[in-house]
Amino acid sequence: MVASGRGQGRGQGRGQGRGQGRGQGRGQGRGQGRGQGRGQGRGQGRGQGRGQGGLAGDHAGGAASGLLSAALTSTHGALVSNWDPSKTSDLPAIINYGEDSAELAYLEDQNRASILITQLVSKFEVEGPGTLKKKGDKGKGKDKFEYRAGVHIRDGSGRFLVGRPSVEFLGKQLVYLRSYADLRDDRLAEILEQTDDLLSFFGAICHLDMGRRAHTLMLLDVVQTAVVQLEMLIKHHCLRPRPNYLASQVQPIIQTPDHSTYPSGHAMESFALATVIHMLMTPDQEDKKRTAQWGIENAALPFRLAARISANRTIAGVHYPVDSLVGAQLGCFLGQAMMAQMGMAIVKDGTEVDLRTALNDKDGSHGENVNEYGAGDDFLLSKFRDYPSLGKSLAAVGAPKEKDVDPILSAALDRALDEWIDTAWSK
Amino acid sequence: MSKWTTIPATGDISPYIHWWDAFERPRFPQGTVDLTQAGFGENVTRCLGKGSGDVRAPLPVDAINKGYATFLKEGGHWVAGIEVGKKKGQFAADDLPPEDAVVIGIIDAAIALGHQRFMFKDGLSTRFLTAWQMAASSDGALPYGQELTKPQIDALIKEHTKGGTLDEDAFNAAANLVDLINPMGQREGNHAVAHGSHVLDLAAGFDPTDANVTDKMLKRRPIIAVNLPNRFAIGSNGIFLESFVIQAIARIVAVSDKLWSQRKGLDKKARARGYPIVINLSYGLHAGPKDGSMAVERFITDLVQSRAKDGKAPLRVVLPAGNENQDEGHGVCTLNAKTPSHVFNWRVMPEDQTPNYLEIWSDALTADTPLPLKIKLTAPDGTTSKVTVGQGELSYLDVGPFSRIYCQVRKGQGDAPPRQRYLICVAPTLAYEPGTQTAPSGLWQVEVSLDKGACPAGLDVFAYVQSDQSTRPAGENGQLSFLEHEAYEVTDDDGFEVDTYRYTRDPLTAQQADREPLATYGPVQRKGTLNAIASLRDAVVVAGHRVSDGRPASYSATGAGERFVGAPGSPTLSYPSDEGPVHPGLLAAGSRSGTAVVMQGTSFATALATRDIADLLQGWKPGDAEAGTDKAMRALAQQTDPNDGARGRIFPFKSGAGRMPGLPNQRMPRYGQN
Repeated sequence: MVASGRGQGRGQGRGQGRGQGRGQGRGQGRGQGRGQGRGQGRGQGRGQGRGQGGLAGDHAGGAASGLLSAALTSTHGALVSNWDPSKTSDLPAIINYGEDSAELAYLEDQNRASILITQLVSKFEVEGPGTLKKKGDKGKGKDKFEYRAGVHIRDGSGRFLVGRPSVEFLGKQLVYLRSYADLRDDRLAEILEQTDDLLSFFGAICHLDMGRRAHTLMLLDVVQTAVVQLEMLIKHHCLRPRPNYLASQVQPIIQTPDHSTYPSGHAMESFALATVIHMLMTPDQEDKKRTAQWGIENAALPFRLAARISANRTIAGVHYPVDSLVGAQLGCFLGQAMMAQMGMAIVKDGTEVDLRTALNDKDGSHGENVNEYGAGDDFLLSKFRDYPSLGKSLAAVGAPKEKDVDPILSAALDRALDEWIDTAWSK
Repeated sequence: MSKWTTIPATGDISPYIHWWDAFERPRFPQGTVDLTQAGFGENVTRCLGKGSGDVRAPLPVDAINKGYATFLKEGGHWVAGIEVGKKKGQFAADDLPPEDAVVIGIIDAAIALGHQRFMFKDGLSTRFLTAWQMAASSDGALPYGQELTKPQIDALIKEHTKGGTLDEDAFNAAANLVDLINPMGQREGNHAVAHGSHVLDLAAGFDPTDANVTDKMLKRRPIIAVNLPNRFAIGSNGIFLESFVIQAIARIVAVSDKLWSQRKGLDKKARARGYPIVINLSYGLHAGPKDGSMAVERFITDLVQSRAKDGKAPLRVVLPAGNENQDEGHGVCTLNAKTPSHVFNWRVMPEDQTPNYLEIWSDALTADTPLPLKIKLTAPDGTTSKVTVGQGELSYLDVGPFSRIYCQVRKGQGDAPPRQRYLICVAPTLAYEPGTQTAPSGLWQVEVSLDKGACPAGLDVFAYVQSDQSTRPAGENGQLSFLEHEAYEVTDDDGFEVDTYRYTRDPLTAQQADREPLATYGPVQRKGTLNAIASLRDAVVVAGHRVSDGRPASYSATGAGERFVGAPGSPTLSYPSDEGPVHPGLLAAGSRSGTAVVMQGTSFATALATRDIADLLQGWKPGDAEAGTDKAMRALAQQTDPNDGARGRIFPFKSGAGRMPGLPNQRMPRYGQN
């Protein structure tokens, strides 16, 4: 009786501590970066996935629990009691690391994802917020801060710089916050779902699940999370006020996030996802038709969806159209750049895109200089494709300069690509 | 950009159709052909023989009868096939309605031909005499579409009834009620809620299992149905509705008359009489002249009057007031020397995949000042026209690549006076198809001004936003634009929805109860939102109210009074369209037998009026010219509901002459009702 009592107490304490620590830690860790809503959604989604299937549980047959740890303790006591560690183990060494460092199959999803995210983000560097130029040589003029934000690929195969809109520019865009608000009744369900879940909407366009598309889902999750990490720092360098700071009447219908309105994270993520999914969905097409530029010019479904997700944020009252416009271009750039870093480079020569002077708040419209985006302009997929800067921004990704593509990332992409050759449906 | 282009006068060309040809047709599914008004019988020829350019419509190639022109040339007539005989599809003598029958005509979408509530007591034979599915593949008998006769419908019901139950999915597909192949095809018949079935149940539905319902009663209410084409054929703005409705009315009348003439033992004079017909047309348009001059209005007027003149049994057409009262779709202003111009602020919605249209109409003009109104259009992005006026009878001016103004001298039609019309067409604000022009969303400014020296007594100007629906089978992407003005109240200070009038028990005059006196309330007005195809004396126009306390339905559109000769400018009377504040809408048939659904709107009040008018015409005797007319129904409503204020006072522009009761609760009780 005494022994049994002790065993239970210890088992429960430990089991609970570990289980909670992992579940919450992951959920919040990601969640905080993106905003609470999304963090919680992820945490729950994963937690359930793990708990449901025996094979996917923390333990071999199910989720961690105090009862299970207590049961394992009593089982251990019964089977082994006292044992001598100096005697040779009867188990073979099964992990032979070193022969193939790209092999991550031994890891559970979330840990594989952690490695892939770290590896992918490490290929990029965020720039900003600019440099202070001292007075000119002759002592004339004033000190001037030269603003610069953006992201480049560390191996030099691409760079994307953006300017930031003035508060006055954003103020002129309130006209769209007013008119888009009329669509709130129409879009409420989409807006709420999309606060923390974009993939389900893409999953309606192409089959995505934990069965035959498990590696694809992993890839998309990694891409989205990597974009979020980069986007937060870009936003930090841009720091522009959300619409409800310029007009109380906006009254957003979801919580306004604390981070910069510009560029839109939803636009970056959804266009990055659209870019990657479009490439996955078109394995047999010529390279030209697999680019984001082609997808946008021909209104391929993943890009229509990305544009609608972006517009929904304006309807909700948390973004200006310009946030989505620049976010979308960055998203396409990052989507193609990430695929290139993983070994699928569709555009061969990288260049640099500089949109720092593309925003014009002098007059309402983009008038004569078609490269300019004016404060009076809306964000529409059909308009978006009219800007030549788009073509440039999407051609800005080249093949990686390093001799070999990162083996860990390319192995992850290869597994995902294999899932798009549906031999099961052959005639 | 700054020059008007004149369109040569080759008949009565609709500016809508001119725009549609230029901007819409290229976006439509391949293989459409234009339909004119030829070959639809003598009534259509008489009324619309000339000037039918206003009413043509596109249809999918499949639906068109390619041999029809030859058929006509060889002396064929479109009701030639409607006969008693032994051939396939021909009627048995017993199928013909009795002499005292009143034919119910229904023009709608998704009328379930296999529905139990439209059957005789055996549950296997239908009360439909014929049903024309306008967008079904041609059967070679009509100019387009496919018409089923009672024997054919009965055969299909029999074929698809297994173990006493009709397989309605299979029946609907076999009868071409539902088109699951054409991407733009008609599918509403497979929805749980179907407009046409609901309307028809209220107008002519009976429970055949009810012991009080006899086959003799059911025989007296035969039905002739027309299922309208899919939405893309009608157009996002509904402009092709007129064409289809004219042909549908002509068909219902022609079939009814032909079947009457097939009855045995009639002498030549008696053969011409026909059955009394009540046509329920629960459709409408938002914008139009509202002076009775729409082609469909002229057609109805002509047909009703010529039948009366010829001593035939009466034709009655019943129309809804419309549900646009709260849509901010109507503006009005008066221009004179003191205030020679006015700006309408027109808000066009973002993410709208259909074009938007605003009509500007002058009041009645004299022939010597055909174009007194100038216009200036400014898009939200600053694109603008000069202050300008069109030329000739019909001309247009492009404003940017995404909008166009048409200017038309609308010549007097029948009783209606000459007027000037501007039609502003704006491209969709969202398009996915590459190469499709989009327009900026937001506030469009439409400035109208009076030409110097024109109309010294002043001129009233009316603005109407046109209907806007998705062209996709179940799409909701047609976003209705609206007119904006700071004085327009959606809710009052207490948060209650504002309607055209205050409904009080106090004996207020219409003027005292008016919530929107023009001087203080501003130009955006509920008064004047009445259905644009319902400005005629020779139809019964039905507003809606709720049963529980008699309060007019806030959505039920309001007329603006009699401004034009022959256009009453108000509904005839009001029928229930809601049961109570917590029971909105009316309960009636869903798309499948045994189902009941709630639908709300004046369409359904209209159906109740159709039912009553048919009852009034029961046993009609030659010489009775008044039964069921607008005038007679106004008198009846006044008798039924003296409007003494005990149930809250109502006003004629909104509710017509009075309120009529609905159907008894026992017919289809809601939960908790007995």
